[in-house]
Amino acid sequence: MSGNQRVPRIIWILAALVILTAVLLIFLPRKAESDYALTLDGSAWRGGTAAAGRESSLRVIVTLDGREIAALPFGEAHVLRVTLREGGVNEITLTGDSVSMTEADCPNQDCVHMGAVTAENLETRAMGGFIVCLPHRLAVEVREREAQGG
Amino acid sequence: MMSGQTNRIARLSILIALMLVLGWLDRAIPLGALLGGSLPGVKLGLANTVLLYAVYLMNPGSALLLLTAKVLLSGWLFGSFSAILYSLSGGILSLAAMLALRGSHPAPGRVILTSVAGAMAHNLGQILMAAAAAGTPGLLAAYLLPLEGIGAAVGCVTGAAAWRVIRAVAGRREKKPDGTEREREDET
Repeated sequence: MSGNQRVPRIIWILAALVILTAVLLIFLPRKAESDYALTLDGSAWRGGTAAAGRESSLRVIVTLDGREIAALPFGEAHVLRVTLREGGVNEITLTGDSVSMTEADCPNQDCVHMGAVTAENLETRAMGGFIVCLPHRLAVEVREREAQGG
Repeated sequence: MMSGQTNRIARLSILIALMLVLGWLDRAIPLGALLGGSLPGVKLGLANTVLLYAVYLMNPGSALLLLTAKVLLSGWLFGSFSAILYSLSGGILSLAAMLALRGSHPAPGRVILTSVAGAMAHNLGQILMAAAAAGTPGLLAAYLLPLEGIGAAVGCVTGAAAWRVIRAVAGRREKKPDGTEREREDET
């Protein structure tokens, strides 16, 4: 049979590069951050942590480029719109029992099709508590509230 | 009779074209939708059958060339720059895994194992880049398990398909009369 046995070194170097690049990008803090504007329920919002809900132990964390830009209690009805300075728009709708991406102007619409996260499907859903718009580097995560701060 | 170089160029061109068509077919089969939209980016990876052919019956340099050409052309024709980035990451890890696991000669079990490893490595590469782009390490954990499960499954399918081709081609070459006229596959 033809074909070489050994894996050429270049392949290993490339593979290592890929993994290294990804790991660095994931875990190193981003220097350049996108400019964005938020509106909550129709009015401009500076972001940050909204008043904590009393009942639910779950929170909805919205991150852009890995940086947390908004934290809302799960279980209250809100509509959050994120507008990126470079022009992307995403709309996240929270209802009494779910979170979903209801609008996005990204080409593939994967985030909209990911469906809603509810308290029931949090464990079983394929992507867990995540709804991600990759082209806009926007992530919405539903997770347990930590005991202190966070 | 074509010179070795012309032979190689022609062969590679056909294989690249085949990969592009298979890549297009991939996108035409809405595997993601069938799963209810819950797993974006999950594909059959049919073009991997050609890479398996190259891993077993050609040299690693040709396989790398096929991968690079396919990713660039496919990204240019059907996708975006990010698509190229994700495919390239996935493809490189996939090729590394397949070349490492290929074994000394093709056997059905080995080919399928290599295919599964390639598919899973490909998905890993894509998830790594996706998490890197979005800056969310948590995404890795959430997405990894179901995607690799699907990856293993489709890896079996593409591996079985590739094995049939490899067996047919390898068998045909062995049958050539007088060992002198053997087809030269791995000429650089």
